[in-house]
Amino acid sequence: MSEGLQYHKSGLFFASLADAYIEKGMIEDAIKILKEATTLHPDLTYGHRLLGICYFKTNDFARAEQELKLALKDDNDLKARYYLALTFLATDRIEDARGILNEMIRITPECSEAEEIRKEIARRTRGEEVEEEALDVTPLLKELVSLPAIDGVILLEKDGLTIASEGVEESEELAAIISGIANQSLTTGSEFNIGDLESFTVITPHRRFINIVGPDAILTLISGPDGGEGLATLYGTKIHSRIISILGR
Amino acid sequence: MINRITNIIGYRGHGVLNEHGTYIEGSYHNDLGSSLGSSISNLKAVIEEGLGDFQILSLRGTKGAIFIGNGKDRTYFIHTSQETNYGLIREILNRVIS
Repeated sequence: MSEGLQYHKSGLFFASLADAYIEKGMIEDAIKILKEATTLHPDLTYGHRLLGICYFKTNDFARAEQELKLALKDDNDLKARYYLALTFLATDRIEDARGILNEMIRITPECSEAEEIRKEIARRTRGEEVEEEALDVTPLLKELVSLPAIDGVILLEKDGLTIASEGVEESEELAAIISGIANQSLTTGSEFNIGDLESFTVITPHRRFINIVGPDAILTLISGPDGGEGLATLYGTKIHSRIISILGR
Repeated sequence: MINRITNIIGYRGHGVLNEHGTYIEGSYHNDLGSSLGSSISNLKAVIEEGLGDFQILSLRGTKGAIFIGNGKDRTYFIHTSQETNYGLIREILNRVIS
């Protein structure tokens, strides 16, 4: 087989061509070529992902699910998971979408795709879970404080009112301070054009304040000066998403 | 220090403020440096008023990040994209403020 023909039968060629078709809105043409690509290269997870996206765009959710699940063989394919979550949401499978959301958070703790899915799940489940707000936040905060890297936790409204706290004596005062820092951080971040503020960390000689910013609430994790910030942020982000879902914010 | 910062992946700019919060050097032209420096000074003041002395502040946004190192008579700020080496920047800032 000539080099040119080999290239034309390669997964890379198919994927590039399909990308171009999708870009131009030629979804049916993309589907046609991606079907051939995934037949010739069944292990081409990228091809399954693109095909799944094409089916999703044509509202063929059963086929979209089938192809996107094949793309999940790539453990770090965030996009495939994003579209699979959208497919589940389109077919009212909220719990399945939530499962995929957790995987997305595992891959990239803070990303706009996960945030979009989280918001949509929260919007749809708001009515069902509104009565659980007061009951469910505290156990989650206790779970955080049980981690060795975290000494205390405050969940606060962006206006500085404490929603709940664990392991922090001066939580009301600190919540007001954190809110003030968050407000000024938004202003400064805007001047540097860093986009929506996702988190901010203050390291003082004695404590670290790791603050994860949600749509209307902030989760503040307090650790010692040598606390494992990466671990704290990872768990904080995961639990923050759960808290936000529960609060429907 | 400056050489190390400018070589970091995602580097966009940096500045140094004196003890009065005045922009004295960095990668920005004077007007922009002064404007950004003023915003950094305001943020620094809010933190010091609430939490007292601090060493490093980092802000992470969807499109970029800012790091502030609070030294004895100098404040350093670094602007990066979101895809940068957070640990390396903090290590450099720790050295220059200590």
